[in-house]
Amino acid sequence: MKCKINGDVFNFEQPINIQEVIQSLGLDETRIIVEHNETLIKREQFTSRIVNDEDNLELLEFVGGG
Amino acid sequence: MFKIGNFTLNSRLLLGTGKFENEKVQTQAIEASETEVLTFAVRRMNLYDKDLPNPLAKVDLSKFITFPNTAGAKTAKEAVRIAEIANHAGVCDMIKVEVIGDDETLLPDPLETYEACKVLLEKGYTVCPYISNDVVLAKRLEELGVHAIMPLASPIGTGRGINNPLNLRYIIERVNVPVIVDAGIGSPKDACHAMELGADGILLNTAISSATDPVKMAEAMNKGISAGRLSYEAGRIPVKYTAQASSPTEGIGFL
Repeated sequence: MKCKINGDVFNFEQPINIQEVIQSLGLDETRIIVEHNETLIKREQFTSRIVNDEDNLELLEFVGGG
Repeated sequence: MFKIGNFTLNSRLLLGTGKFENEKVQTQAIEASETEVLTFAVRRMNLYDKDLPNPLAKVDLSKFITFPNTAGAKTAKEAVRIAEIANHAGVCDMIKVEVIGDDETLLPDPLETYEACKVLLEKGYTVCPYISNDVVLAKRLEELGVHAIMPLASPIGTGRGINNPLNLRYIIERVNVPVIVDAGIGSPKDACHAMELGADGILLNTAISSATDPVKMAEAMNKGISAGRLSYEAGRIPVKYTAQASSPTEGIGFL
C-alpha cells in the first residue's frame, strides 16, 4: 500500500500502525507530532491508529524559531 | 512585572530559539537572557537526515511559558492549524500569530492576522499578534480581545532597530494591552530605546542567536531592556534646544 508522509510517497507491504511507521523511519518518537488525514493523533493512539492505502501522514516537530 | 492574559512575567525579554549554532550555546544564552518565555516554530521532521541538529529538542520547555509562533503561515487558516498542532502537543501557553503577507519584506498580512486572532480567541487561546506599526490595526485587535500587541521594530532579521519610533509610541500610548516589540532589534541600544518608549517587553531572536557571542549578547540585551524600563519609569528629562549649565552660575566672581 502507498501513503504520503510529509509530502513524499512511501510504500508499505500492508497497512501498519503509526508506531510502526515511526520505527520503520527511525525517527525520535519523543519529539514527534502526528497528523493523520488532517487529524492530530495522541501519543497513546500510535499503536491503535492504522495507516491505510492513500492515507496522508504529517510527522511534525518543534524547531527553533522566533 | 506585567501580565499577558493569565501569565505573569518578571522578565521583559521574550526569546526566540531560531538559528542557535548548537545546544550548548542556546542553553547558555537562554540562561544569560533570564527569559521566562520561549518562542519556537512547527515544522515537518526531516525523514532522511536524522543527524540534523535540533537544539530545541534538548530544551525542557516545561520550565518556560511556551510561546510558539505561526511562522510559515500565509493565511489565517494555516496559522490556526499551527496553533492547534502546538496546543495538541501541550506547549501553547500563548500563541504568537504571525501571518506573513509579503515574501520579500516578511511584513505581516493585517487582514489574515486579524482573522486568525478572531478564530483563536474564540477557541480560548492567549493570542499575541505580530503586526506592522499600525496604530489603527492595534486598536482593532485590542477591541477584538487579543492579549498583547506585537509591533515590529523593523523587518524580521534585519537588525535595523526601531524604524518608526513615532508610530510605535502611538501604539504604546493608544492601546491598553501589553505591547511587545518584536522583530528587527539589532543591539541592546535598540531594545533599550523601545523600552524607553514604554514598551512592556521585547521579543528577540536573531540579534542574540546570530551575534558573535550569543551568550554575552543575551546578557547585554537583558541589561539593555532592564535599563530601558528603569529609564521609562524614572522619566527622562525633556530634550531642549539651548544649553543649560549643570554647575551653579553664581559664585564665579573669583574668576
